[in-house]
Amino acid sequence: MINKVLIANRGEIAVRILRALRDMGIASVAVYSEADRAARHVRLADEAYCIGPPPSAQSYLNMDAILSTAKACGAQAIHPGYGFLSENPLFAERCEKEGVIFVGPPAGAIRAMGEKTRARQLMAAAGVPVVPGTLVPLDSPEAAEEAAKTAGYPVMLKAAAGGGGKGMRLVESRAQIASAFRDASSEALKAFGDGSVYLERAVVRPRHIEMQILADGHGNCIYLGERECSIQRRHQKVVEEAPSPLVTPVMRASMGEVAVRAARAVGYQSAGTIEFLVDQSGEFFFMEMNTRLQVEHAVTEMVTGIDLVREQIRIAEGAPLSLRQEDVTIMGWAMECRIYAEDPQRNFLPCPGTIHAVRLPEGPNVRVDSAAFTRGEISMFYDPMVAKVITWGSGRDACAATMNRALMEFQIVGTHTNRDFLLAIVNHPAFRAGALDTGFIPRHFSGASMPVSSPVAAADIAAAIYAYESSRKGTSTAPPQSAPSAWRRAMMGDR
Amino acid sequence: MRFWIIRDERQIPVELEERPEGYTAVLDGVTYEVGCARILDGLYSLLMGGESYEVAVHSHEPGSYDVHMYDGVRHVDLLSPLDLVLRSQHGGPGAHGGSVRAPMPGKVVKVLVEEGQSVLKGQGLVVVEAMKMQNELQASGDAVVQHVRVREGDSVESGAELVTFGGALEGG
Repeated sequence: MINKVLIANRGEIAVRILRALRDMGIASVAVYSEADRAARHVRLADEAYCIGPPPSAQSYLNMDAILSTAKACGAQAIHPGYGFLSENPLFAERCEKEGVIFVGPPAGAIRAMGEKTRARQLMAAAGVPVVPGTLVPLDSPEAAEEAAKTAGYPVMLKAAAGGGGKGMRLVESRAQIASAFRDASSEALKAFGDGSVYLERAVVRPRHIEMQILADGHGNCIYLGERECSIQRRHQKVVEEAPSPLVTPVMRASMGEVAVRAARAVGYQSAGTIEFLVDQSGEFFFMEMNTRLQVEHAVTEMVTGIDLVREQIRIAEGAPLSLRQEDVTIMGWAMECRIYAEDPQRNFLPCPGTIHAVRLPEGPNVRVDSAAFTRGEISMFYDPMVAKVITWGSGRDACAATMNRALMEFQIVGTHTNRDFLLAIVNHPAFRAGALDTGFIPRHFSGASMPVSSPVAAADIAAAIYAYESSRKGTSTAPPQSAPSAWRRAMMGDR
Repeated sequence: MRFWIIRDERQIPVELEERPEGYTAVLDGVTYEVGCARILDGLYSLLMGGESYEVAVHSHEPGSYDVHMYDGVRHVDLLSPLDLVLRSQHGGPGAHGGSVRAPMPGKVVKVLVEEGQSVLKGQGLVVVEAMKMQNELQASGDAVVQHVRVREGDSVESGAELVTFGGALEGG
């Protein structure tokens, strides 16, 4: 039995793991960098130890410091969270070697899925669908035509030697393939000195849909349903939901079985996620596996009632899964919005700084996973994600309506956040209609059309009242940055 | 008290008058009766014609305000009479050969500097009281005080020179 776990992470995920540990009656050990002395995960933990200076390489990625801390304080296991050391096979190996349980998959599974081209071959061999195409260069327009026939139109011709769109051609039909092949090849030759071109089925308006799995050390592996994560900005997920509006029960079962097959193929244990690229007809292809807990795991928890961190700990203890596939039911709908400290008006520039005040949403069907607190620092050293707002509803519309309400109540004063941008996404007619694909944000929110709230009299008058009251106190209209205001201190307690 | 909102290259006047439970506000010629409950510093509940607003106001720098509301954050550039005078002074106090002038008619409550003294940007110079409000006039750059034209208790007219600067060091 595990009775003490070290959390090798920070921020909201450290807090979230800590909560699961407390629910389970397991002692929690936080580690922190010098920048995080006042962080919430430090204060909420049963024990906390400093592991180094602010840069991650010297603290949250410092295997020696983390392992020696675990041994010194008697933690039997280390939960890596996401990011940092979570998908580092060397760390998983070192934990094993030094007799500390790594709460995650075996090093071999991390390694097998970590090399993307090898993972693709492994998956294809295991009967997991990958995007059809050739990985060997094509030597003639005729060979391209033959390969395209097998893969199915539309296809994408890609330069074998490079990227960045050079030597790439989208081919809609057989009539264009020969000339497209010659164009792509000569462009590739010019750009990379190598005219080799290969071909893949083009997935038009792809959706990003992923399947959550759980596997134990006794050969049991189940799937917990999908999450749709098509709302992305520069490959970074922004809004996620479960289930996906595209996925039918039949498709879910088929994706789920494929995901289980993929996990078994690498001897997976713990919680993991298989990411699929899905076309608008519902055909899906393996993209990659994330061999850790995901940021967006909470939406799966909301619709299944399963605590994924608890399951991870139990699996790490050697216990069999606490439920069978037929015990898993999807109830209602859940969405997650990621709050980033960034300025959508200035090309999403990250905005580190001090949080002047935080107000977190409350009420029915709202969950917030956050490490933000009033007077807290958003450090320049780490990820600018400060909170996740998660809502549940009996159906998708109800869930979106609750998300709208929760975001309206959410407030961080003192730094810019993407909250208003999230509100605009959640209330966008295309989002409400479930018309999602990974091009959603660039299509609907190009730089010029970033939402800006139009002026209202109440805002203008509020600014004037504030300026007036500040000047009456005999100070300049800007309060000194260092003075903690009563509202900073009192609002939402110490969050 | 009158302020100006700077928006789309317009100066929109907003006039506030205190009432027992709030303010009468005249914004761009339109009068609003505003019930105002100050919950905490910077956090207000406003009632305007029965409509309820909760607003959190935050200012990073003078004249610049983020107004957080449920449906979105509004950025408001708002100048007080003092800010307006400072702006019209081409860099304001601290600029080479610059001076600080009274933004409004009032009484000098406090003089915080003496002649020959070096001051830093943001340092308080003179406190002027008008309309029951005290305004601390600050240096907008590093400078050396050349003359102090007023003494505590003096009444000054709007635009009266209060402090002049010699060799400007930097800023403005």
